[in-house]
Amino acid sequence: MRNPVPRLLFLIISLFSLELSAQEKYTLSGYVRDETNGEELLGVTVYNDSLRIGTSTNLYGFYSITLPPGSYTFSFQYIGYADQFVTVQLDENLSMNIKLAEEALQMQEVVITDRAVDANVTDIRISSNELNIEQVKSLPALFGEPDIIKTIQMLPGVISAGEGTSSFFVRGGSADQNLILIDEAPIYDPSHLFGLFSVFNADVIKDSELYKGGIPSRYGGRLSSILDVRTKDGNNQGFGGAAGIGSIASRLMVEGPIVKDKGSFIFSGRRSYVDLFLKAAGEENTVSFYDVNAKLNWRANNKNRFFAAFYAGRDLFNFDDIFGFNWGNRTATFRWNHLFNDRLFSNTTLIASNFDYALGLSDPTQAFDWTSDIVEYTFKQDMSYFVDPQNFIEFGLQSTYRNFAPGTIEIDDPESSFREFRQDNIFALDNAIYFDVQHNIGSRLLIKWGSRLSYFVNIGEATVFTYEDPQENVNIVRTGTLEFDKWEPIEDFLNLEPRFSMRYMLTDKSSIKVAYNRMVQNTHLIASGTVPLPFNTWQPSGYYLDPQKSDLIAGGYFRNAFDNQLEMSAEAYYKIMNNVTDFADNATLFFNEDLPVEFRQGTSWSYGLELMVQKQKGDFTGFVSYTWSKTMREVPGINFDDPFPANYDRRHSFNFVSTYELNKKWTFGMNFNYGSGRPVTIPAGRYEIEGNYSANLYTRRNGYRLPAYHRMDLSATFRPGVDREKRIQGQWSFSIYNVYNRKNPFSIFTQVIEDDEGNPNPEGNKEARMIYIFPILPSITYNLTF
Amino acid sequence: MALILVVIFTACDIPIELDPEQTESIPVIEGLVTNTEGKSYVRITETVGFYFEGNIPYRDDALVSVTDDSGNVTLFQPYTGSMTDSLGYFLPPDGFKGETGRNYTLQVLLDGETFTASETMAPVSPIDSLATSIDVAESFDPEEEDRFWEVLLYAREPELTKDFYLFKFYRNDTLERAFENDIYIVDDLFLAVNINGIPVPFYFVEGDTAVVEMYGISNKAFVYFSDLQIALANDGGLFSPPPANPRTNFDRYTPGYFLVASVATDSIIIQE
Repeated sequence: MRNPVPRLLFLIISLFSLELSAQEKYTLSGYVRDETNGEELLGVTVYNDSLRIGTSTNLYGFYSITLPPGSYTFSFQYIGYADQFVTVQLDENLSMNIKLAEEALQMQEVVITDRAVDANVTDIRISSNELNIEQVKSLPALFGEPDIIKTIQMLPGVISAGEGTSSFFVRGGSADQNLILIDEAPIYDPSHLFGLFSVFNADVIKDSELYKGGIPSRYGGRLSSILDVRTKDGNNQGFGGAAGIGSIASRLMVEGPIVKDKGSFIFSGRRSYVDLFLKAAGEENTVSFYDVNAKLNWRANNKNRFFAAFYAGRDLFNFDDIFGFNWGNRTATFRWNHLFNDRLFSNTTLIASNFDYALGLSDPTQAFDWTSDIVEYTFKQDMSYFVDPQNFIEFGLQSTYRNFAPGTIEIDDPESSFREFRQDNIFALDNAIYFDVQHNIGSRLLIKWGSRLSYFVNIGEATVFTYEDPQENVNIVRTGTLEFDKWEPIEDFLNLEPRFSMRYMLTDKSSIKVAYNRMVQNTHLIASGTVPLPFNTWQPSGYYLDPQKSDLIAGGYFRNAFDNQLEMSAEAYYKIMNNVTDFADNATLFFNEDLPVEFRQGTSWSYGLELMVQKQKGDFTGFVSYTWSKTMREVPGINFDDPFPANYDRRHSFNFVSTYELNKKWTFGMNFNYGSGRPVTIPAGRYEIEGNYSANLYTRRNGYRLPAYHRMDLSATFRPGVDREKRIQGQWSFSIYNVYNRKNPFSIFTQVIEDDEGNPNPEGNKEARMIYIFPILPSITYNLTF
Repeated sequence: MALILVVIFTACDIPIELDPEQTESIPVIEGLVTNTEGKSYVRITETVGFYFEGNIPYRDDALVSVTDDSGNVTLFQPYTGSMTDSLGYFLPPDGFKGETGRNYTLQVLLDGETFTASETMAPVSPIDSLATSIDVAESFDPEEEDRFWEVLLYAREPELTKDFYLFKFYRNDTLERAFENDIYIVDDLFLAVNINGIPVPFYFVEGDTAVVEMYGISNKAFVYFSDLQIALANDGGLFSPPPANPRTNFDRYTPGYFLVASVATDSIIIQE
């Protein structure tokens, strides 16, 4: 690889020269906020009509625009808010914070959509989708729990493996190739109850965006997508809150100012109460989950802002007080936004993230505790430099220390027949520097280019075994051990990850966009199922695992119609993924001291076409998406070395998502999903073995397709007191999941046919059975806002 | 894990008709040589279509021999008696038994093809004792009447050697298991030196005879049984690994295994 350092030097030099050439200009900068609650607004368009130039607020609500002296009128535009026009005499650097007022919408909630009115066409972002959280809330939801992941699964280019999971598959990538961030901290397992719900509590989400391609270089570490979820900062104007009682869980959120206009807090909790019902019913088995989100933020002055955000969530299962398990994520983010000057915005972040799980058996002779966790600490420095209206630069660095504890079995009882087992912790340093430069060339062409340079080091302390044949997993012959001291590098990987996006305006209302990105993933999920389990572990690239790499090229046509009411897009992509981590047939992935012999890294490729029509404004909103895609994998030693369809390779996926606001009191929602069947491996025959086990004989991997999946859900939201000027407003949500009671395939299993008493037939005759999970399911939720 | 979902949210299952790819049947060869007389055998059957009904076809037209590491060849003869259960079995002459530490090679000549597998007999330490006790919790509500007696196994696991075990449990001479697809295997990695009363995985009635067979098996055999267990238990769910055939010790693919194992046996009559 060529040394990328000179290129970066060049960039820094050119940055200063831009500064010099821009001396005779002045800067208008500041934050754009919501008038009623003081929340910063992300992606607000700041535009001067006569010059036809503009900018938009960054991820922290900050904008900066630099122009020659003069008098200018800027419009501040944002969906769901009234346009605001500000005229300034720009003969010195000006700092101006703007407060936008909501449009007199019928819906009383704040509609935060993080986008400019015509962003679909004008923005350089391609292959990315923002979620309108208010829309998510009015859509039908399983057991009445609004869940952004379930909406993400309906976006174009995203495939769901089946209902009742929180995994999603982006453009041929597996579930572990998505980087899921909450306030910039990674979430290693976003599932509650094995995926029925996700960890994201809709009450506190401000903004969420899914990047599937053209991924900005500030993001890295996963091959296929970035889901960036940001929580609310809390109302700094007045106290308020929300509460909800649903059929599975209850929620409470409170927010308010610490000092008006200066500081605010938000606290939110959600807890399931299935276990309370089970206990009341005398049931010994209990299941529960909870989430806690908290955030404090403080504006010391216009130049310095501080945030502290926390998240903790956990699932707890207990069976007869003998066997139990639990898992959970905990994250903490501390952020300091600083303005070095009117044009240089800095974001310094400290992040801690932890995922852990535990399983325990308390039976006296066999008692054990199995625990595993992953901990990481990150320092991140991001800079945004608003050079002039034509040029925008982002650059920064990130450094992460990661500690993987793959598994420990502890035995409490000295009389136990089992013994303790500990797998050594594994350590890694994950560093990166990045930059992105955005240029307007003329009035039609917008180009963004940049790169991420990642430097990943697997470090000691460690003992690495060497093998006679590292791919032989039956007769494992160790040939030696390599000892590494604390912090000593075991293996390091330097990767340049170029990123490029381009937008060309064809007309005012249509554009074409092209993007290329390379992504590198150095954190590998050790799991062979289609959907990860919370009990899976992760491993860094190192002596035996090479970094996974993907190259994606995407292009699309974007068009808005009816005064930007209708947003249309058509995108095509091709993605190749090298060194995708897979495992040998019959791999032992838990408590295997010789785990490396199970690693098989292969190639995967995917291509597809994605169509979307979206309507964001008006009484009737929603989207229709259609995806045609194909994803194949080729892994040495698997499927006779031949390519096979990936487990999540659905050819067609169609989704219809809509909400209709009949009047102030009633809103209706509907989802419809269709997905062609996912591939599975079915037996080609069977045989009898060891006396009377009836075993299946397998040939081709994923040679059979499950029946197609389709489902319709309906919802209605009723706000009885909306007419009255009351502080406390109640709201009923009614949902019907799977309206026409479709028996959707979840999985197929085989069994020896049993007689009426449940005894298997002696000949070992077998049958296949299809599991379906959810029949028609109505639910009611009551929500309060105050 | 789909099972957990099933427990919580009463998922349902319905029969579904698969249309599996038709494949030619292949021979299934399984063999056992132990250090106990009268227990060694070879069995040859064939794979069948998934929806096949009836008795599994067997083969008795093979030439079967076991050769030890000193070159002694023992021919296994097809069973020709009247017990239909025993058809397809090949048995050695009376008095044949293996010895711990020696290597045995099975050779099967069938339809002009030779299947060969060889393995060295792993040792097994004796079972110290079996004990019985009433499982109080189970006795309040036994699944079957009076079946609430536990049988506990005591043994010493040699600390310095790497060992693998296969267990077979009999109730009144009938091989039993708790669930249809259970295979009881252990890697000593997880075993303490003192095996201090591990319970047999099902219950007994007072007066029953319990027999425990503990086989010392090779690493390869452990891998085979572990694979077989995973394949049998695979529920095809989203969390399950892709199903695969077990890895065997034959040089030519057959889904069976030639097991060479020493066995320790103990028995107890269930009583106070």
